[in-house]
Amino acid sequence: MTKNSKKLSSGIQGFDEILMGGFVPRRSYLLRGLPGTGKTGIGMHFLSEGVKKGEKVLFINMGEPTAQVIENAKGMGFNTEGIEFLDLSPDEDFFANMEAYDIFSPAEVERESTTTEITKKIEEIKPTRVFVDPITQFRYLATDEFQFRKQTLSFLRFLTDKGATVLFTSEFSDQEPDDDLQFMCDGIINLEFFSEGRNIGITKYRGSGFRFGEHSMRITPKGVKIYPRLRPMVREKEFTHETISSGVPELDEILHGGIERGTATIISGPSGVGKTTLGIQFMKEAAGRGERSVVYTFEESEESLINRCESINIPVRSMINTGMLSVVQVEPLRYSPEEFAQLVRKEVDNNQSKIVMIDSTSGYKLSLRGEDPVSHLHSLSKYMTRSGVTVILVNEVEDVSGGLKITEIGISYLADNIVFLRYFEKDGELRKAIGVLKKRLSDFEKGLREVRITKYGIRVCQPLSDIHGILTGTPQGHDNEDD
Amino acid sequence: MSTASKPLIFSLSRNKRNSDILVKILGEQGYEVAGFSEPIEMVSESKNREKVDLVLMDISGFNQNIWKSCEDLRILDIPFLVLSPQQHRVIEEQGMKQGAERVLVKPLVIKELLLLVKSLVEN
Repeated sequence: MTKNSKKLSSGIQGFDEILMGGFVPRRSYLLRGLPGTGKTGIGMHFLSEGVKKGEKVLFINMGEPTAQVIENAKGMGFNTEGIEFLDLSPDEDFFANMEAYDIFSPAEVERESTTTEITKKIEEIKPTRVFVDPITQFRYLATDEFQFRKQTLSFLRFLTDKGATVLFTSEFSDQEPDDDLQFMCDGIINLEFFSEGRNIGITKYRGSGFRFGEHSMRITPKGVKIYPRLRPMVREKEFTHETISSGVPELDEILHGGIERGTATIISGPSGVGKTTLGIQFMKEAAGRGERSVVYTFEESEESLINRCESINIPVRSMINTGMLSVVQVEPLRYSPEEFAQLVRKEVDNNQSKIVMIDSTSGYKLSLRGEDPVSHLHSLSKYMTRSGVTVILVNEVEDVSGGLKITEIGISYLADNIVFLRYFEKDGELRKAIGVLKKRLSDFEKGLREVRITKYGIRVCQPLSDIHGILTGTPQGHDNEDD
Repeated sequence: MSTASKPLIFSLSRNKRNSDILVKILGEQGYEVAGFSEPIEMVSESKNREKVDLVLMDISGFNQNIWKSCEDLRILDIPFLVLSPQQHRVIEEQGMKQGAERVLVKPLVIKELLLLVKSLVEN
């Protein structure tokens, strides 16, 4: 969308995405949030971006003295060189001069000098970017609500008429709501800070579209990072709709060829039955074709997974060394769903990974911070399949045997294909069966087959037609054999 | 009416900062302003000057004797404004009785004061 070439970049990549390119110039934007939500950080990025582009930028600090602002900025990794400051914060003289005057209201007296200072500075520098932090100080310079509104509006108008794009902050509380400010600006950006993490969202943006919803945000030693909520693309990317083979002929038979690109497959089954192994099998075959795959493991360690696979003849180490496989162990509670989605998106876009496995969906749900991870999983899965990626979701069910349960957390609607693995008992041994429950783009074998995982790899046997009741976990032979 | 020199205004106030601010605000409008915290000093200084155009008398912190100073100003034919810390019928009556041009209640509005001063000085 290159009609945004006139928009001003915020200096934060994820933020520019949410703003569909950046800020519409010569407008004013309100940054709202409780103390500590990151407003000043965003202002700093905004100004620094201007400095990078050789623009004149101005920071009007009304709460803290300039020295402190600069120190805080350094602590956040910013270099304030090139930023002009206008210090309107209360100075120590104010405290020392304890004798108050009462001849005129302080609002009147202070405002006069404040306005003069501001006008002078603006005429002198002619900035294209201005950050006012916080603008709520103006309240104390107005004799009443009406005056405050009038003064603030004309102040903002003055700045934008002179060619500046203005970001200003407000600190609000129950005692001091900022509803009036919300009417005065061209855009409103809300910042929130929960125990699970930080959010940023836009509630108003005149003159432009924007990405709805709340997006994840982080304050790092290198500044503010924003992770927009992933939205599946409206149109599919171009890709060949072909079926990829598992490399195990009988498995391909069950699936009538394999699984298709651009689909999401759930591999479901109880603990230890071989779900992850099955997924990696597809990746082994893909590596042989020169295609890269990624596994995001939430529960198992990288080492453990590698060792397991090596012991059953899947050469995972060499796949990793040749760049055909990446095993990523996701630290619990490290990421928000948006951040994780950005990680995956980068992997898919930059490294051309063709198969992505999430092991497991419950691990995903537990490990990522925030609420409602399932809808995020949905977006992520859709994003990937629309890009032509084959998505494998490993879903663990709790029951080792017994009635068939496919998914625990209600995600079966996500899947184009569902493959399930079950234990069953035969001849006093615990055996494994595999079957296909659903396949969107092709037909599939309706029967069950026994699957064995040996040191030579995955073996899928002939269909189990001579016994029934496998799905109950207690199969019986047709010809009334021993139970 | 003032000649080539600036109009001269005296400010009497116990609160020095009040006087300082008046000096600044009225000074910007082209008046010469002198601040006092003692009525006697103000009256004696006024005798030293060619003409005092107006006196702003902030009565906060003074006692009943302040009204005696008003009589002095009347004798010298110097117009004065009484600035009171609160709206009080007694103060208003007393002020007007003593010959004040107006009794104003603090805090004043800058614009209004400037207009009033202008009209009184140009008189």
